[in-house]
Amino acid sequence: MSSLNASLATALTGLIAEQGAMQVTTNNVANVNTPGYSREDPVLVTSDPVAIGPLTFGTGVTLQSVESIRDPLLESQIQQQTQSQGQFSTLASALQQTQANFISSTSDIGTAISNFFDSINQLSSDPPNLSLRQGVLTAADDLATSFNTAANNLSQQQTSLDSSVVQTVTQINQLTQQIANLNQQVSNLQNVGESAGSFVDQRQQAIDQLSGLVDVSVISANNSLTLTTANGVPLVTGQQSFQLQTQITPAGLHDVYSQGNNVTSQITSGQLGGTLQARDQEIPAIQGQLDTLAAGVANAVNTVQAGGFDLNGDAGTNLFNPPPAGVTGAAASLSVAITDPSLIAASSDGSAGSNGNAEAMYDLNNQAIVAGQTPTDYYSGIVFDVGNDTANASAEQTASSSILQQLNDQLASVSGVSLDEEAANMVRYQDAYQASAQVITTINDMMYTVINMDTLTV
Amino acid sequence: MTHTESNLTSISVSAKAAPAADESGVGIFALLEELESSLAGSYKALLKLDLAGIEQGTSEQASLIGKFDAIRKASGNTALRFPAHADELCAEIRRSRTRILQATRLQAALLARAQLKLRVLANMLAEPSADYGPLLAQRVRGRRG
Repeated sequence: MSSLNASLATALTGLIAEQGAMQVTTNNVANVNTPGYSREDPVLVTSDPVAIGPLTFGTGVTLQSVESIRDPLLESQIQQQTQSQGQFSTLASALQQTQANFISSTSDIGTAISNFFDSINQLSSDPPNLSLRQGVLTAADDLATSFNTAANNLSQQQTSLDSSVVQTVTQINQLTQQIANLNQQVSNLQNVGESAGSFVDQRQQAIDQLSGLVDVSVISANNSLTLTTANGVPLVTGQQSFQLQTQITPAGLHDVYSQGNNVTSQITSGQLGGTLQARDQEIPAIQGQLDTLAAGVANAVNTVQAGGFDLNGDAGTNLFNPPPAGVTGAAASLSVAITDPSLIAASSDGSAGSNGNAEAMYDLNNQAIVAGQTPTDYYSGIVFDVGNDTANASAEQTASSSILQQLNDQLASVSGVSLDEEAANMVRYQDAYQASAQVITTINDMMYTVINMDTLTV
Repeated sequence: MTHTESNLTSISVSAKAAPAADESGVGIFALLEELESSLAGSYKALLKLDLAGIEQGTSEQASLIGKFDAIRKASGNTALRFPAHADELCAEIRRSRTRILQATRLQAALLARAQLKLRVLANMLAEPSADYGPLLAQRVRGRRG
């Protein structure tokens, strides 16, 4: 038969276990508003029984472990949507800034093109009129300026995005270092069978932050995590982090390197992916279209100009300085070649009153002189593309935000602290603690009876 | 009464005052309102991955597109006709069109994510199981036999 001492020890295990459980609940309540905290549950198990003769007696309860309540699938989905949100919020923001160059105004390229051809149309009604000729030169200068301004704005935006690349890489390196350190702490605790809940929470938060910056793939093995980008660029392996570097290219922009390899094109998501997409794809595409438009208009006008005669009866010279071969940089460098209004070749036969060449120049407005389209249609296409890309990026961002909100709500219902539930647990543990204490009091009385048995008998 | 409801009231007054032949714009506006409402329903269904709701939304939207086409054909594929002095209606149609374009883009983005999620779930359910081994062995035996 079990002794009173054994019963006392058994009751004591109850006190200790319930006290531990109460500690877990207290910690849950304390962290009710802590971001990234996952609710913990005490795992109580029966202690190993002892056999005394033919009978087996229980020996109480043990607080075996404290488990964090997590849902790895939800966490993985949250990481994925965080990456998308990071990518598209950066891209949408960059494109909105780009779009500002194409908003209809008195000085946008579309208006400048219309004004230029309108000024030529006016000149054709009175070709010798110097005031109208000056109007054409002013409109040509405005057109060149509008191209220059848009191209410079895009270039500045690209430089600004390039600075973001360097800053984001620094942030990524800080986070991967932090995750590697946390991996070590988690591993140390889990290897000796202890709960690493708070470190796992911190690591999960760091991974979520990292997901906002770059595409992250998480592989879990042996109490540790390995992080790579979606394309396999290593970021963290166990306790070691792999720092990304940036190196400046001949074009003056920074590429991203990992262990000596250029991985810029392999980064597709997160804030860094969005920044690189805007810097290396979206803006260069728009710059290319603007260059094509500027070169198309300048070359066509110069060709018509060369086929006519100026006010002095001489053959026409270039109205715009010829764009560079291969058109790259045409928008940024577009400029008017003449300052003397009499040099505009409005005449088709050399006489001052002829307007044949001015009309031919005006007709360019309705001719397919830019990549098979009229200048206005081509410009409208650019505006449409920018607007469409911006709207798509915004829709993608909204979709990611909506899903992320929903996933976070779901995770909160799994891992979040419910004060009602914790209050109920507290009462439960308190009752069990009181019952164990009562058992100890009873055993104490029984022991008193046993100790004083001789006295009582007397 | 909401802003949209008040607009609808003023539209119906204009419509009554106008000849029937000039009302294709009013008809289109009513359909646009239905389409917006259907897209809002699809948005909720897509977030919940409510397959029945997604299917219902798709079928509603397909039916509405059919009605759009019918109105276009009836008006001889020409520009929409509006009752006289219906500037407010035109402006509301333009706003509605913008909202629908945004909702459609959002729906496309959500559909892509739903497809991805369902693919992941399908892959998880089809994890490598013991069934593959015996099946493969049977096949190999069959070829040898």
